[in-house]
Amino acid sequence: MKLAITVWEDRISPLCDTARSLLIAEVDRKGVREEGRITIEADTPAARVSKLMSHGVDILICGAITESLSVLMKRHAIQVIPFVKGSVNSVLDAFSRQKLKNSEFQMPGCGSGRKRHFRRRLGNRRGRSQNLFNL
Amino acid sequence: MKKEKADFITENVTTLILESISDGVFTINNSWRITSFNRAAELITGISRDEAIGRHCWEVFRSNMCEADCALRKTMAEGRAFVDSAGYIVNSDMREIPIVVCTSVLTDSRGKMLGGVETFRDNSQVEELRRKLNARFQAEEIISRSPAMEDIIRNLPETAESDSSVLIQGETGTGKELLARAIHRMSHRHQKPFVAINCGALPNSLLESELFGYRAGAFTHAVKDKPGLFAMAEGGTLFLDEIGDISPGFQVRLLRVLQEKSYQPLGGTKSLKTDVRIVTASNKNIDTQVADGSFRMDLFYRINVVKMTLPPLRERLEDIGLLVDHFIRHFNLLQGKSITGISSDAMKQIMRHPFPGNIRELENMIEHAFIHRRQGDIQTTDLPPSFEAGSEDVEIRRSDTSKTRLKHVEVGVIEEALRRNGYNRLAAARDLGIHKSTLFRKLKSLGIQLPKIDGRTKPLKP
Repeated sequence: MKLAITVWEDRISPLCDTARSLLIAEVDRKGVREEGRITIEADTPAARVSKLMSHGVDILICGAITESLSVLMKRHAIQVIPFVKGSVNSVLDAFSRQKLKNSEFQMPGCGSGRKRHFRRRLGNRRGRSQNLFNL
Repeated sequence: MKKEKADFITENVTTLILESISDGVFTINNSWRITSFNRAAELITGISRDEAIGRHCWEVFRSNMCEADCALRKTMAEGRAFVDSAGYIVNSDMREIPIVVCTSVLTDSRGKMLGGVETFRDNSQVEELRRKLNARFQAEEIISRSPAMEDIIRNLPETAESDSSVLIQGETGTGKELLARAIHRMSHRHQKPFVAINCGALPNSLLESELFGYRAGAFTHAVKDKPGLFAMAEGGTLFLDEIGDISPGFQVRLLRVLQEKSYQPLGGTKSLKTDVRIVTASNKNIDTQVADGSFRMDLFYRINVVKMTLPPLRERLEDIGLLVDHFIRHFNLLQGKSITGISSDAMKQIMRHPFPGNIRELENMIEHAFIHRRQGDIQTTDLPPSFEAGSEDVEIRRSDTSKTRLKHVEVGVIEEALRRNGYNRLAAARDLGIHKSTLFRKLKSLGIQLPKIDGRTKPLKP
């Protein structure tokens, strides 16, 4: 099974739609083996999907992603694991140990139940002022 | 003690201001970690302050600028502010939020860089307005930004796929054949032929042989079999234009073909099966023709499974600019010219015109302007004489009937062609793409007076 990760330097790229580099890895019983990095020059969502398909990618781990690109990926049978953050090595390690759902790999605002909680809290706080600065 | 109190008040006021504004504001330290995050930033990103503070800014902001074109990175590298960088962020619902960003350096009282500050504004409403202003609906070669065309273009893919009979109604020049071609090209029949025929242009007997074909010996000079248009369009689409002009007798014949999906060529003894999608069009109101009995109701229901009514150009004035640009691009390509656009005066003159000939008239007008101009913008002097009429004249013509307006245009176009060709009738007829006898008939019926010179007369040498 082929795994791809959108990378920016040594970390997960913040936005899949504009990521310029992709790490390709082979996943089997022995674990995850990095095969190399490729540059993505594709501008359109369709070109991005076709780049992934040309490398036989089955799973994509990425940061934020737009709905249109995500839908397109799914339509072409590419499983997307979105809103992941962290260093490439730690994410690969977490993936092999099935620990990617841990909060340390989740982008802020994307964990389960967080959003509802935030909205409720925001509603209660309306009108209050708080000290913003933490410098 | 007093200074401490003053500092406390200043800080509190700053906090209140930042909390009350609608622009998102966050600050980062030199390690790119968020150190403050105001309420508007929470609302725009959908991320709470508690979650945001201490995180790398790109994890929270996840903008299209982060990786390659980060305004904060440029600010901190160059030590200066950047204003109004446009981009978008993606929230946890995977929704794109267009934003405009301003950045500046954050320094302490001694000028030491502490980090950066970024303010960002949710530009969704502005983008939505811009989208509405620039919105255009397009299907194949049909372009429009008019709400009057929106439904037609939006429903076109479903209509094309349905394989149902389509009746297109609209004034002359509104693009009925273009729409029929679009339906064909977007349908599953697109690899099969599209065959068009103007039913109003042919007498009944000829129309019948054209559509159904004939067998050798069916009539004098029918020396060999000739396939009809139904056979030529097999598997594809047959477009019957001016369907309102066919005789009652032929209506019955056509109805049988549509009901039984088979026809008999003239002089033939066997029926031939046909698999053709029928798209019809008329510039007449078929409903009225059904009501007055000149069009069969049963045939009407057969052809009117889907009805599309193309609005005249005067009801989609917002499309004129779009169409003018389209035709300028088209003729630039076709004629190898480099016309850049149209002057505002010429555009005003066009907008005042009632366009009885609809889009075809507008296309002809641009083509006419291309004769006079090689480059630069089209000017008022490049427009045909019929466009030079003042607004009062136009108002009078607006109240005219369609027939009278068409007559006005015909007179204008013919007179212009005659002038252009030095009143040589044959050359003018060629210029107009009609036979010379048609031109003579038009001259007579429209009452166009000609000067004594006829274009063939050579001027006498002094």
